[in-house]
Amino acid sequence: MTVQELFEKALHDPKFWKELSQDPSKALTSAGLKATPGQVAALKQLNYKALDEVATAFGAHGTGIT
Amino acid sequence: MARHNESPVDQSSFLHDDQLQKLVSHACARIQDELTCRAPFLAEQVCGWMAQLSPTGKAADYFLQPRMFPLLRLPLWAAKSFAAESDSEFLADVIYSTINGYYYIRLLDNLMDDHGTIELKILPATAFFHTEFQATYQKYFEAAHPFWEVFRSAWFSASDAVTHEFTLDRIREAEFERITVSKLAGARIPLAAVGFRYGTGQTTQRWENFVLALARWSQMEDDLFDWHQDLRHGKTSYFLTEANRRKGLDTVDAWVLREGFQQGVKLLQRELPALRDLVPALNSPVVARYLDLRETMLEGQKTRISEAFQVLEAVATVIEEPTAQTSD
Repeated sequence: MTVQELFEKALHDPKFWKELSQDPSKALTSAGLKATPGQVAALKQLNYKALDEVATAFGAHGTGIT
Repeated sequence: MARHNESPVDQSSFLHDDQLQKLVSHACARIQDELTCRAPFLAEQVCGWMAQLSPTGKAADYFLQPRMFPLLRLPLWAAKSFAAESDSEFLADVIYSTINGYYYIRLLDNLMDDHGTIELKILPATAFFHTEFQATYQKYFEAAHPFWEVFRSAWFSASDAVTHEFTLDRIREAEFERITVSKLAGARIPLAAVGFRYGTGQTTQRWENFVLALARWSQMEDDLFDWHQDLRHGKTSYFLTEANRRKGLDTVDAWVLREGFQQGVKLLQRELPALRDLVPALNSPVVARYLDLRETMLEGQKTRISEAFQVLEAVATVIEEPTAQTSD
């Protein structure tokens, strides 16, 4: 999964991030990926709430100037 | 400098302006009433579109968002700096005209940028919006009044720039300054109306200079925050042109996440002092507070978005590790 795909998911797929924060192994399996316990542990430590700002800032049309 | 000890919510309280809220609500209702009376079939569709643009579903709220370019606030701030007592009927008409002009541009722009939903179906509404935008001023300025030269000059150069920019496949700094910034010339029109009504040539010129400088800054901000939408819709911008030039072997997305967003914010922050230099001549403390607010909002977004990008990069790194590969 590329950064571009992850950015798209931050904009449009809150379910993916919810699953990733609650059960990284299951979320990655759903996305067709396998993860080691170390990777699962690393994914559990991230602050996924921060991603809300991506949808807020980049999801809708911005300042309305043009 | 911005008042960093105040939260953005406290700092934005001055944007709550009862007079403006009333004028905007009244203008949106007036558009709906005029349309319903003269073009009832079109009215239903256009009112739906106006509501759909707004995050709350209420047309007026669209124009009152703190991040929105203060197209409607600027004429009121200017009027206040020119005259102790303003003519409320005139200001109501300026707001009504400007909202119609805005919807005219928004409708065409959404179509040209491929952001459209129902815009093609309601394209004939441009006849209404343009007529109301222009005709409202006929009550105040006779045909030979110099206001109309400003109107023609600003409106035609903006249309020319929009058409020119649409043909470009990249926008370097020179094109941004010469073409993109000219798209915003329409913002001069309500200011000129207020200036001819209350101000002097010199004071009006100062406000017009500030409005164009603020519009230029807001366009840079718009390019930065719309980068993903623009990329998806195949639209170019100054920011995306720079992204393509600087990204090396990366994708645009990866470059923006790694450094491009931070660079874009730094550029906006570097440009703020030049805007502030224009403020003392305006005799308008509210404009200085507005720039403080924008500076604080930008700093807050920079912090929050940087944190979000770090999360995305961390996830990408884990997923790209050899063991997190596609399962068979």
